[in-house]
Amino acid sequence: MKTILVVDDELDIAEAVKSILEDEGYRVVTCANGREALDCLKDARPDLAIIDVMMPVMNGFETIRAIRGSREFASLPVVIMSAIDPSVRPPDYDWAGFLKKPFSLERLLEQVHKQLPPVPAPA
Amino acid sequence: MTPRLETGVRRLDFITKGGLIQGASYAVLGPPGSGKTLLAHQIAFWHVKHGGKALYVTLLTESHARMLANLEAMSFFDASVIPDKLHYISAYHQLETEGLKGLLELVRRAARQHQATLLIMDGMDAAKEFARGDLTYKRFLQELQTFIGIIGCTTILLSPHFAGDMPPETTAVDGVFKLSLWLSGPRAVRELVALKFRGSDSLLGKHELEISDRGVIVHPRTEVLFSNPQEREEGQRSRMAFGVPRLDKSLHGGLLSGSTTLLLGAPGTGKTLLGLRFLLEGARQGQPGVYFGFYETSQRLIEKAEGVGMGDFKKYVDAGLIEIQWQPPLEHNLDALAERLLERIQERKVKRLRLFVDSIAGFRSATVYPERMSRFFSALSHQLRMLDVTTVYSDETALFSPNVDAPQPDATAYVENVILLRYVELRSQLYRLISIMKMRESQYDSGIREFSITDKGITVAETFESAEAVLTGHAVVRGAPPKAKATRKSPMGVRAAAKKAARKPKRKPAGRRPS
Repeated sequence: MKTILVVDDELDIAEAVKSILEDEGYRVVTCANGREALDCLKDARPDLAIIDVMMPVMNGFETIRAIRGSREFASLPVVIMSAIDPSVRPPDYDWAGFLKKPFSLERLLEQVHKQLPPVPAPA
Repeated sequence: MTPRLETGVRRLDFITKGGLIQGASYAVLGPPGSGKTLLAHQIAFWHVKHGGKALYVTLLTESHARMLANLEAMSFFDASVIPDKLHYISAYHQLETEGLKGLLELVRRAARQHQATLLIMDGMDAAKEFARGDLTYKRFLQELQTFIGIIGCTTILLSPHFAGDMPPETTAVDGVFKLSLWLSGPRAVRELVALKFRGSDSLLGKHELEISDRGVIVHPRTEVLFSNPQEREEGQRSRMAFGVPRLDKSLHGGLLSGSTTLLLGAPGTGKTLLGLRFLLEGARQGQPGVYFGFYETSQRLIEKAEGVGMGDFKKYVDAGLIEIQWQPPLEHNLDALAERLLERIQERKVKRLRLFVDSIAGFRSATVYPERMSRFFSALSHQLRMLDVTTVYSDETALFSPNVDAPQPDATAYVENVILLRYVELRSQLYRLISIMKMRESQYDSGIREFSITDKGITVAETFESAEAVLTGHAVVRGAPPKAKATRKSPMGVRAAAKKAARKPKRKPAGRRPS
């Protein structure tokens, strides 16, 4: 089962995304800020991270920079989740996708399925 | 542009200027019996009929079977859409065993499983009680909203509500509709108050509500429905005559087309007949007319017209040129009356239409907020003007009063013309008088003249010279002896006046003629 790390200080969004992606057959781990996310990376070992930008303690850009700087998770695909398009002020690292808030179910699944193909429904 | 969800509730989408906003959440509050469940079902059935899918979640309300049994008589009810398109679940057990978190999870999964595009949660007071505090409940609502926002599902939350209470939903959701049911005298009044509507302009405020076997019908306040009046491009205006030569001469040819006139007078002075004469004269010239009245049936009006020399009135009614819209003597809703009137006129799509509203009192008795009347009639009259309608409203003054007390004193704000009909008592006889009190944008003759109704028709005399000060209600015979002598009841004085009056054109007392 593929694991997705969802990082957002707005817990209602994190919980809603978790509920939807679990229904899609993924394992989902949620964190409330960048610092928490970095701390749980080793245990969670995600295949994809969906990270909000504006968060307390450590914001999304700082978190992605830290992930890219780590040896173990440097190539982890990251989808940025924000009300502001990151291409307006491009950060100095790569990101796999962008999910503009507020987003629809279709947009969320499109971004996830680009990185992690849909899990076939059990027969 | 934000996608909208049509409700199928007549005129509710007028209030929200296009329908509910897709993916948004709404609270419908109201005391038991105010129509919350009915309103929600009407929206749900409309939604699934037009391709959507609805999930109806109940929390400690009546059983689904009982609920559906109560809805079966409604014209919108369609059993064939249950359960595939309209799915019911009871979530109370989940709430009882797993609290709000369990409820949220159940709703999330069911909404996705049934691909719901409309979610209705009925009995939210149970969830509120489990929350043990407004903050927890608001948090639950926020989580629910975030989820339904992502899946693009519009949500309606139904909660009981009593006056003076400010439920936490009002701050958390995107829109709030409050339903109420109260008594105005013996009359039950249902209302819908649009308290909040995020994301779009809307007609906030109180609107009357009607429930029938067609479901809920909302009647937006006429004055807010037309709160941004458009200016009509004035074409060539014509004169709309009554077909009563001396009156038309005093009006310099007739009322201006597109104008609004108040025909004011005591009961029996001939307002209805003069109004019918106005319609008949139009019909004779090929102009369509509408009689919108409250008191007399079509048959009675025709008979009445025939009795006073308007024998061809029926011919024009039968031909459809004159339309009689009689409002049966029931409890009416003020705005529903205006809707009925305007809709019918719009449907006819004709120019130079003449309208006779008999009378304003019919509208007045339909309102539970008398202070609205002036704004209501301003909006209605303006809308009629926009439709190129020449309107004559009748209204009653007191039968026995020396003063002319208009029941709607501020009517002059929305009418251009005022014609007064009244009685005068003279030499032990009652006479009818007519005078033009006001005529905007036109010259007019303000003389007071005798107004007669005979089986030959309506006539207006050249003058009424035998009396003066008639508008005060205290007519004095011209040529009569001074007051001191009059108090001695000089028979000569009265006789002299009578002799003078006898030289005038034939004039019979009003009381002997049909009215």
